[in-house]
Amino acid sequence: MNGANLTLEVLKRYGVDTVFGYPGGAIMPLYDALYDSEVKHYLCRHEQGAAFSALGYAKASGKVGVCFATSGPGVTNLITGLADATADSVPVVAITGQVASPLMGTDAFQEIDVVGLSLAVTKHSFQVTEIEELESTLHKAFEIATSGRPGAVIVDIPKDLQLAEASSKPVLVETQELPVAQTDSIEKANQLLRHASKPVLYVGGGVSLGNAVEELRFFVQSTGLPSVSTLKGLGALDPQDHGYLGMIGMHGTKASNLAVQECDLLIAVGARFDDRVTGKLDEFAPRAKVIHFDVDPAEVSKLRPADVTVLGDFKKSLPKLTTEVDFSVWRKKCIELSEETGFKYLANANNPTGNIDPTSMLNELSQLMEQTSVITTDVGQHQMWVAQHMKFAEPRNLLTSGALGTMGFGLPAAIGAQMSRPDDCVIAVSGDGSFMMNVQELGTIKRFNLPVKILLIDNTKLGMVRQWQRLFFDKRFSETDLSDNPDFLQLAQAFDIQAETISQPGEVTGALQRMVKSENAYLLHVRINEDQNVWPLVPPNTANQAMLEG
Amino acid sequence: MKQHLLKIKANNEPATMEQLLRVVRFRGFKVDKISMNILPQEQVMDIQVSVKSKRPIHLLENQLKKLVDVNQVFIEHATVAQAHM
Ligand SMILES: Cc1ncc(C[n+]2csc(CCOP(=O)(O)OP(=O)(O)O)c2C)c(N)n1
Repeated sequence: MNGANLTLEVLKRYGVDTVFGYPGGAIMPLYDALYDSEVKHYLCRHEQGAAFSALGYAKASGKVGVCFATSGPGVTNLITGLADATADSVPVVAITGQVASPLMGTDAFQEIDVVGLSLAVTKHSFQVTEIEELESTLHKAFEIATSGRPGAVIVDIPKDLQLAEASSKPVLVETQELPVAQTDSIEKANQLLRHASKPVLYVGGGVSLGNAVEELRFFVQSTGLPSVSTLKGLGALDPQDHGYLGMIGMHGTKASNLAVQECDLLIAVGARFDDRVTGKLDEFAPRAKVIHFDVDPAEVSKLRPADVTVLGDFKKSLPKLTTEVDFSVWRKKCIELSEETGFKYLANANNPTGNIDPTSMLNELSQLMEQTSVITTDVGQHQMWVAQHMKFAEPRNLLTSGALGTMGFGLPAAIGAQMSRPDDCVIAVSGDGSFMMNVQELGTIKRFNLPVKILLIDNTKLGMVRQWQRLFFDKRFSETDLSDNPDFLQLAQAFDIQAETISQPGEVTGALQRMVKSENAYLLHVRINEDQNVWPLVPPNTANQAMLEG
Repeated sequence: MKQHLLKIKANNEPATMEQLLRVVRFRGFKVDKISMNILPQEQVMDIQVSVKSKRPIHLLENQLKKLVDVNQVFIEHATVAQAHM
């Protein structure tokens, strides 16, 4: 067995049967080993596509995503995807080929300092220098990627080590259990909760990472606390609960932002007070005491000091958070606010404006699709419309680039999601700008005959940037026009993907139905008016109650 | 602006120092002084870094503790940094 075979052996031991990648000189031994391996490799059309597919695969299934790339440009192309995975705490292991050991450090052909390049955007980076260390390094990589707060890990393997004779030996890897929160911290949290009269639960992506959706929902059900979610937290709270007020922050609902501004206790669970959530930090939830549940100590009191910190496994700590206090008056007030100020939808069938309203369309899609469907988004207005107007039964049903906000995420992430959940409908909701950023992955859909659906919301603009230009840059629309987009139907056709274009509100329902019912890949190209904006919007560095509403 | 002395024990890996210094810089701290020795018995790095910043030191401490190869971080003392520094 050589190093390459051993690498695949270790992957199999971790239950990895699917990897995404792109070959090249320095990783040829590993690709040679793949040739007759049970591990199934999906050739993407760009390493960034491979990284995002691995990420989508991981996020949609809860497994580890694995991707391969060659040295030099292969790795640099991978980096954006790995940065995205780390920023959104998704476990991804990237295996990269490096030039042969004797050439390392000589600026050899396609040599790049992978460790130096990746330290800032991965949870950890390894370079294997001895064949004896290969196996234990791979084990450590899986352990690090998945433990605590997950993230991306690179294992860089020089070509000569991939070819070197290797033998598998049993390795002892220390596994890191999540710490269990200290009893006194939970007692203090319960004390604050007892004395609160207007508490709000603020839920982030950590709840799903910590597999604590059930515990969270039980807490909400038994206490009746009003709740809000971040973009990454969507799906964790039960969307049917009237006390769930929707997304918070820059494009959050009016009710969730106002409730948080008014609350006297904010219980943050797996959330990190991101600037897109808090608006002007000094004025965020100004009257609230804060209880912060997290697993990453570095997130606590990083931006907003916590009065009580509960560090450890949510699955174990959330069930201990209890109260007998009756919050029904406060809950009722929040629900009324939510009902008064909630989104209203114009039925697509009798919308007289002549323009498709994307918010109504997405709301209709949300009701029409199977509840097991996976939605991926790109970045921009369409992403915020998805977050505002669709409901998700589970966090793993919405894949979006939250922390990094990377355009080009949606299509390859949908490909990965479809691989990990072949029986579920996967729909990439994209914008005409973002779609073109990894459009080459249509080739991957074609090659593997994947039934991925694409809902392309085309405003012939870089919509979100243009919206900001309109609001904050005096309508100086600098470099945001895309009116020379390609013919998207022909583009789809070139990859054997069935496609249709709609531009009238009356066409929406039928087209959405055709898309979700299609057994194959499908591109639904939707023309919308360029002046559709995302509302509400809290201007940057402004307190969250000062939202603009269009 | 406060000055802090950090005493760190870390695994003797090729990228440890690089990663440490990267985090110090990225989190808004400046290095005034640094020394590193390998403790021979344990193959452990014994690092002392004096840093200064306007930011509270716990922000850096928490980030350093997260690094895979960092085992211990002690904050020795804080002094107000000289105005000219
Ligand atoms: C890789 C990358 N480059 C630039 C941006 C900045 N950016 C954010 S939204 C946006 C416009 C997106 O346009 P489109 O995909 O058409 O979506 P829309 O806003 O029109 O729905 C841009 C350029 C980004 N988020 N990611």
